[in-house]
Amino acid sequence: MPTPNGSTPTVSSVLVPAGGEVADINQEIRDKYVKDDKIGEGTYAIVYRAHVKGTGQPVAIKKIKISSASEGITMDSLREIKHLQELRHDNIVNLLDVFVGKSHNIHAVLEFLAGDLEGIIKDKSIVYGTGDIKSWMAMSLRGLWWCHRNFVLHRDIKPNNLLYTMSGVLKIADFGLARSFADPGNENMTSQVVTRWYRPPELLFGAKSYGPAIDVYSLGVVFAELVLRVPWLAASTDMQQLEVIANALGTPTELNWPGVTTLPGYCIPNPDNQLPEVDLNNIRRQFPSMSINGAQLLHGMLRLDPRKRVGAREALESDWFREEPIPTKPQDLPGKKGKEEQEKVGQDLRRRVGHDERLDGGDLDRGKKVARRLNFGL
Amino acid sequence: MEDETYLGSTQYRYFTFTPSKLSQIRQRTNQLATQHLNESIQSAIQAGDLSDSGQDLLEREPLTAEEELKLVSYYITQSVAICDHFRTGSAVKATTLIFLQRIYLRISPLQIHPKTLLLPILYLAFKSENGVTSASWFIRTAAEAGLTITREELLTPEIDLAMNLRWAFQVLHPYRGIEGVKLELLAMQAGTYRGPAGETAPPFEGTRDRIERACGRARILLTGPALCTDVYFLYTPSQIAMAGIWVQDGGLIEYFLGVKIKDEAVRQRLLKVIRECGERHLLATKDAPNPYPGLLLRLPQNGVPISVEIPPELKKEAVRIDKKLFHLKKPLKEAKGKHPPATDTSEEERRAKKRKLEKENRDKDDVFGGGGMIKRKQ
Repeated sequence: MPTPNGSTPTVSSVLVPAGGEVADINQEIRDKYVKDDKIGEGTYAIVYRAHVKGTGQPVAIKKIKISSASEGITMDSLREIKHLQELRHDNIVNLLDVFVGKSHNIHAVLEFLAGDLEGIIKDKSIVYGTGDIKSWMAMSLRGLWWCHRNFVLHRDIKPNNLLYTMSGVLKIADFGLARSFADPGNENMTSQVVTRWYRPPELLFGAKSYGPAIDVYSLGVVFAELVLRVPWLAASTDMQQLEVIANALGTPTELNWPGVTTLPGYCIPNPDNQLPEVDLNNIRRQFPSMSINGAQLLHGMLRLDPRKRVGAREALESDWFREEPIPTKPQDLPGKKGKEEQEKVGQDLRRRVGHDERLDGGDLDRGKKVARRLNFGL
Repeated sequence: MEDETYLGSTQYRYFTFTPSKLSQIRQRTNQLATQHLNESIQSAIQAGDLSDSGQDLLEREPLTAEEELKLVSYYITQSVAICDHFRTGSAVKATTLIFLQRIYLRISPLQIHPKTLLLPILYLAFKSENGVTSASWFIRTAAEAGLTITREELLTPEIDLAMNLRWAFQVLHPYRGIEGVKLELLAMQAGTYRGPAGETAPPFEGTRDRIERACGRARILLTGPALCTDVYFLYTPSQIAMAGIWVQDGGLIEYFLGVKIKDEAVRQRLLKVIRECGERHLLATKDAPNPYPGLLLRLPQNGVPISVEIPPELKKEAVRIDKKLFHLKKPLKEAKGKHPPATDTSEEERRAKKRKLEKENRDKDDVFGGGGMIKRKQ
């Protein structure tokens, strides 16, 4: 977009590189796609079904609303673009392109996805078995391993962020809450992340420094949900959530989790019914349909003390993946891949629980909070 | 595996060059911007917007690529001072400086003056590294240092900055690697090191203190002066990390690589690269022979000081180049004055008044040592 001579150059036209390459590239990318219909709208984005001109390959275009944002590019989109640009993996949603539209909005072009695990779990007409669960778990763990290998925490693992392509390949999606943990010893991370039912105890206790184990725990809860076909640890407040966890997995104490009492929000959530941390036998009683190896993996992913939880790689090496029934091939996995189900991509836009960028409260107040938070860490 | 991760990064794909390619890009940016400026002046002459006869305007000495490089270098040092005022910490500071360098690869100061982008770039780096950052807090903190910027001026360039960064917000910082090398060296020194195959390290002749000291100094180098050089464009993060330690204590790195890399030929090749990075860039001095004849690199040999401290001669140079730049663009500004945008005038006047007032206060109490280089000329 070269400045027409004589007109007042706006900042944006002045910033176009001398060679115009970047602007040309933007134009080229924009022209590459054709928007079809709107398939979802949320507070911060509109998702369109679109296709590549020429090949007809379906894609999803996320148009990020920016005009109303007083803080510039929203953190959701900045995080998502930042991390998806670097994370190229079969089991992570592929960010194909980013471009600026005519109205100066950011458009993220993502590969088209057919549905998510939440849809499969809820749809009682779909029958699935251990081989299918194994396949979804293996693919989720591979994607998660790659995130962690690249020093990225997803921070919002849950069934409706685990999507699949029309050929059944699982993709971890929605990196709007992701962050890097490359700087060691950061003690100023927010604990207000991960949707409540999947939030690990260390975050509920307000830990300011945490690692990949949070995602492993969330995926462990998803694992249990895949088996039970109902949300496993469902509570409606943070306090209740701790209680539900303590009743299912044991009461966190210095005994089973050295140091836990020093966390800022530590409390004993079930004082009248304190329980030791569950062992393998207990997990087997709760999940009688699982093999020993399966129960062992689940137990390893759900340890109270994050230091005792298995890592994504270790989890992948579990014998459960090697025993019968072997993981189902992606193309043979259940799940409707018809047109109506493709709309799933667009439905993932409701404001999340556990979001650290809440827009309630006045701007001034928020400013104060942020300033305090920043100063605290410096 | 190491390479696969790095080769997939945007840092490698978009921002890694050979020395001659890096030089070419800068030359071309300068040429195209000069050409563009002349074309704009020409059309202003044709439109009769210039009081000047015009022809001599086109024959003025253009801004050279070397001058652009010096000017940007000066603003890099200014940016360091601003980061220090914001107490950003190493990650935000390093990302800010690298964003600034990446943007001025394909944008010329003839198009947009670096001083107008320093704060928007810092704000973007804050968001990318730390997450939610309140614009109000940012503007207030900037004001404490006498830097006035409106919310609009801060946020308007954001999308264009992002586009020019090719939507790559992640910067792989070599200083992060120092800590890992240090821990491994300490384990080798203590005799507790075990390689991937369980092998031990040959005994290390030296104290823990020697390791701590070299690594501590390397970190200071890589979070300071090294950010003013071209090393991020030319070397991998691990090569830079090694070179950072190598310039403090060559023996340490030779020992370390001896433990890590058994293949003599590979080790020698690596050492050569590390030595080159150290000698030509991190340790470069004004009087050393230029190792890249005819090339334009940010090296003291090319008159570009490599230091976070602002040497008086650079400041003098920057003032001179700034003036030259101002005069080169002046006719265009006058031309624009002939067709003033109707609504902006009063707003401009109001701001000019405000700026003048603030400048008077600022000069009395300037954390950047006076001179008002950051103030806006208009």
